[in-house]
Amino acid sequence: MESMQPEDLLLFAADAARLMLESGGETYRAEDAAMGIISSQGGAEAECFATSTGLMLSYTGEDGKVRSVVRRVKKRGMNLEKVSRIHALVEALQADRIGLAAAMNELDGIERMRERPAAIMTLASAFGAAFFTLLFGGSLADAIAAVFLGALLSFLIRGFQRLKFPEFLTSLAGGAVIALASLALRSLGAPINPDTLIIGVIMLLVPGVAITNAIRDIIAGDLVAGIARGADAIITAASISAGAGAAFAVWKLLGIGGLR
Amino acid sequence: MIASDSSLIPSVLAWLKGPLFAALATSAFSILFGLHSIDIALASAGAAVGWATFLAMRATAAPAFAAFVAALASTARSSAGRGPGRPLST
Repeated sequence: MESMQPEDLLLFAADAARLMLESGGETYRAEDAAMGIISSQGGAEAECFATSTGLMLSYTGEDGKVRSVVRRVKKRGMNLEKVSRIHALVEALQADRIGLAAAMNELDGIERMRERPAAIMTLASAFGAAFFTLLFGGSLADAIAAVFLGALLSFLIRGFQRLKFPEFLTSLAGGAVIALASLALRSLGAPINPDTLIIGVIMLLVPGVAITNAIRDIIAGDLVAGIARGADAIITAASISAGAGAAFAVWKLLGIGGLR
Repeated sequence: MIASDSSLIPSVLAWLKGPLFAALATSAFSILFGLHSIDIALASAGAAVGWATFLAMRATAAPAFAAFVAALASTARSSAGRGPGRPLST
């Protein structure tokens, strides 16, 4: 076992847990990762408290001194590959299959992992929206329209993220744009069902993972983290429906047509 | 009997479209969520199993219970056939 300053070990464990939270991991998994890293190095009396917006980690070293660190989680994305790799890294450390220095390099590599190219993400959004539209009973025409609206929504989300817009506004605008575009296609005579099309495309915005993680956190006993994440998911869902609802109301007010 | 058999095949094929679309939609979402290689296929298989279970249960049970059993089925599939695990680059 390599020796390491207790402060460095603490920072390494906190960074692993932070990265896990930033990548969409559950809070109990982030806590387990931090504790696992410290226990793998013979650490005693480590405690971690994580929520979806930050984590606190304290650790008593062999010298009896208590050290603690706080990490804020400001980015919130979804990269389950990173979560899986951090999990594998902690398991390897616990099984003594990797040294601490190598593990730190590995974590650095995981943090610097690049997302897939924008074109692939756009294509995945487009076809994801199309297949969800078909799953919800849409016709082939609905699916073809969903390909274009899915791609449009992907551009919109990426643009808003680049401008650092809050997630609430992104979801609100996304719901509104998709509803308006669907109604516009219908009023132009496209043989589509706007309801099915909207439902299929806004699946790209629906916070399904956040809701699942919130429930898993609550079941695991992390009530504060679970409720916080659940509130986040509810606000996102509400903003999507508010955006789509507002678009329908405006369309009706203008009396353009396309509504059934 | 022959008539009912011949009408069964199209209805089974129509029913299978649901799990197929669920698998394809999930494979697209797996890419968005950063999954790689075999994990995408495994996630898609889980979606197909989950949606097939949901459709089968929905015929006889309340939607909430059907969704619960479908989630159990997906999780069971996921636990039964995990991916090869992540190789460490170092």
